[in-house]
Amino acid sequence: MKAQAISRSALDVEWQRLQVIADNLANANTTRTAEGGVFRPMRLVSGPTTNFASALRAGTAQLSGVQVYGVEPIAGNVRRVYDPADPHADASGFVTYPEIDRAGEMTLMIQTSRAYEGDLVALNLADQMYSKALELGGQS
Amino acid sequence: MNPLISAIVTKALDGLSLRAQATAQNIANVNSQNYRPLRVSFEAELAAAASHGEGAVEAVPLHVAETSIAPRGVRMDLELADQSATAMRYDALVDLLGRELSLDHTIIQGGQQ
Amino acid sequence: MSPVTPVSGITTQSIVQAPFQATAMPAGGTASFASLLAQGLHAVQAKVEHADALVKAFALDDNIPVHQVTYALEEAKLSVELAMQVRTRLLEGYRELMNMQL
Repeated sequence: MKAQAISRSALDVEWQRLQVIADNLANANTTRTAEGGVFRPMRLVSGPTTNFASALRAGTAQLSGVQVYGVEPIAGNVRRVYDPADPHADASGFVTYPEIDRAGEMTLMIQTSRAYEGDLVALNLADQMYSKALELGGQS
Repeated sequence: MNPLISAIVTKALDGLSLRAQATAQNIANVNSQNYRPLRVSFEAELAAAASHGEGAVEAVPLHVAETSIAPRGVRMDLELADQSATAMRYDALVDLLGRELSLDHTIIQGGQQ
Repeated sequence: MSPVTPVSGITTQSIVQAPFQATAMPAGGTASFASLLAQGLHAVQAKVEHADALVKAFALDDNIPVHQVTYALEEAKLSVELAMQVRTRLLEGYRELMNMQL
């Protein structure tokens, strides 16, 4: 069962990563968010699951799947476009747009979706092993 | 079934099962920074213990070891190939174990249905 | 008293096949029949041990072709089943003999 749980946790993480990427791409032209201020593109950071209880049991901590560590803003520049007519223009008439690296986001999206597929394949293989073991004793 | 044979096969199955977990963990961490891939080793120790009886075989420990950080991240294609190979070998050993048990079953039944 | 000659058509040869290395029915009677059975059982034992050895080799080393192992196991199983059938038939025959009114 453990191998399936590990792959399942990865499916969850990659899915969330995809949501963040989709969000970045969707907000490429968002000059003002609900909190005020220009939209900042985000990056999901993930890694092996660590929790104190399992770290105490030597050896098992390493086989606990993955988790999201956090979602952090990407350090990046903004674009300023001169358009005094825009309602979001500042005092000097510039509108601030987020600088989304579209090519980078698309690359990461492909990478994420490949990882997702790989985890699905791994999940199926683990399921297969489990089913096979259940057949023991059935042959006679 | 010879107790040594069943000890060897079940220990090998334990090792392969652990390897499946480690490989799943590696595949899960394809997008993790500075991840150290895990490897399970037991074959060499099992082969050595096989000549010392089922006690030695049962005592063979299964190691999960971290390897060095892969320079360009986890190779998902290779990990998937390993996972597939592990699953096949596991399935094969389960099948053989089943056949050995079936043989014993035939002897026990003694020709009566 | 001369040894019991088998009823034609139901000879040991027709029951016993390859694993028992049946040759022409010896005139000696029960003593060599016992050795025939022993030979057969040894052959079955040898097949089972051979299959076990292959399973062990496969479990320890990836390079044994798996078909060799599965085939050896099936051969062993078949010879065990045959031995069991022979045992059943012999017992039936013995019981019938014992039940005969003489």
